[in-house]
Amino acid sequence: MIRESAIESDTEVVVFLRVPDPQYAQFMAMGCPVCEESLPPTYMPDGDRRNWRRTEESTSIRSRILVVGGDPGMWLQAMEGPFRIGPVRKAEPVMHLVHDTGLPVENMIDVIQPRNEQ
Amino acid sequence: MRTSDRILHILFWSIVLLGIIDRLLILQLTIGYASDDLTVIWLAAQDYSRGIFHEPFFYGQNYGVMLEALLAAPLVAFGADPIIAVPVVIAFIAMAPFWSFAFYYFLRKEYVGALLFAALPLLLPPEHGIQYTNLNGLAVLAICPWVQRIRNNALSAFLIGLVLTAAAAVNLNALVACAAFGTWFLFARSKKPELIGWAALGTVPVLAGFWAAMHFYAQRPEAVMNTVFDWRFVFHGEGIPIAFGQLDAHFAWLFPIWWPNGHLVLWALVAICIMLYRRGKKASVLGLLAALVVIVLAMGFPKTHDGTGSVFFPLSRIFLAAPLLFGWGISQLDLQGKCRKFFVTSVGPAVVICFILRFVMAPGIFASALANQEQLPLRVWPVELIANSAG
Repeated sequence: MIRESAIESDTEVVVFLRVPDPQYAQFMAMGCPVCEESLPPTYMPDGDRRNWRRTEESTSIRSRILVVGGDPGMWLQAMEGPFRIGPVRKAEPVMHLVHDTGLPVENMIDVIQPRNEQ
Repeated sequence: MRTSDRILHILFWSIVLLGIIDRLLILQLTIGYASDDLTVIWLAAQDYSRGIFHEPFFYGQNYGVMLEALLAAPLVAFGADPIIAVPVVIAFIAMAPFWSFAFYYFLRKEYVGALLFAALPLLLPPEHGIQYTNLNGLAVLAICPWVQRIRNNALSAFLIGLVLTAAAAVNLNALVACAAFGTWFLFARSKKPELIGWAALGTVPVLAGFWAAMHFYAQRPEAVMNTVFDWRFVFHGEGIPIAFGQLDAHFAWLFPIWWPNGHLVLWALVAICIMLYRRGKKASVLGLLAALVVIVLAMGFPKTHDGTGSVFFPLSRIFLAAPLLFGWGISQLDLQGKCRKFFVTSVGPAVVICFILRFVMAPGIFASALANQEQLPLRVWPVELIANSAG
């Protein structure tokens, strides 16, 4: 389902949030590039073990980001924020598409999910 | 070949065959599951197979060589799926030191050692077979007996130094066995001090490589998400009595046959030391004593206390070398007469009984471990979860 959503929305990066489960987020962020090679690059903000991915996502500006995870309250708040966010899937795994933030993923995540909530 | 030798050969190969079947059964049970750390090794195997080497160690850490990924990489390069290749490699490296010592003794016609090392993985509880972390350093020690056989003494000594240092560099839990084998070597070869110099020289390439790797991370501190070179490696003497108060947790699943009493492996090593001393085997005694000293000192480091009772992240992963030392110690005893006869006649039935018990118990143990993962720093999920969610 993540791949379908990513292809349909022409996603550039799939972001796995540490909320609600950081270990599951790492499992998916690391496992997906092996199991589903056609998936766009994955990333787990604030804890991705791949330094080269952290570098990429703290410098590149993406226009379509598929975000997997996060709690509903956080997303409601984020949708009132500065970014255009569209819900993609409400059941687990929860997915949202974030458009044209003008910021690298690392900075975008800081806006939609302030540090004290991570 | 004498009839008695022929029987020993049949017994040896039967135990090896049972060991292979046992490993395949455990592999079949566990191959559909992965921890968040195992996915990193998959990814590294895929990267290495494409000639991509991002970091010298486990991604995001300044320690832990991903030997499993390095060994799986050629298979992946030839088209194997990392999800299959990595667990197969792990299954192999889990058995490598036992089988290596077994074949070494077998070729020397030292059948007690051969049978014991072939049997040990089967005589240990199923949890020992199911747990798959921290096996890589011990796997390097599989090379040890063979470098001893090299006739060129200087080359043999150089390689001993190289292999022991490499094992400890790959995973520090191999240090317990490295202390034993290294000390044994020093005293067994003490009449030729130049060989000790060659062994010391053998450590240089590994230490240089380790220094280069640490320099890599020192230049890129942002690459280190997780380290052990912090409070985990600050010695606290009070950790030793705490560890002695829970020896069954620190040595869980490391004693053969009498499974619930893992701590017995420690006392067995002490007993073997005394027996070796009475037989005048000074180098072997000093080797085992060195290992015991390392075990006790290791208890003073917080890293040794960083673990759980789960097979997925056990405290006993630090002392995984203990069964190997147990086998090595008994092999040094050179059993003869009634003791040898008792061992040879009982090892076959013991292996068969333990094999059946492992086969029966392993699925329940694995299911229970899967069901009780809350609070573990490392968790295991079905691989199909990725396919279901991502596919």
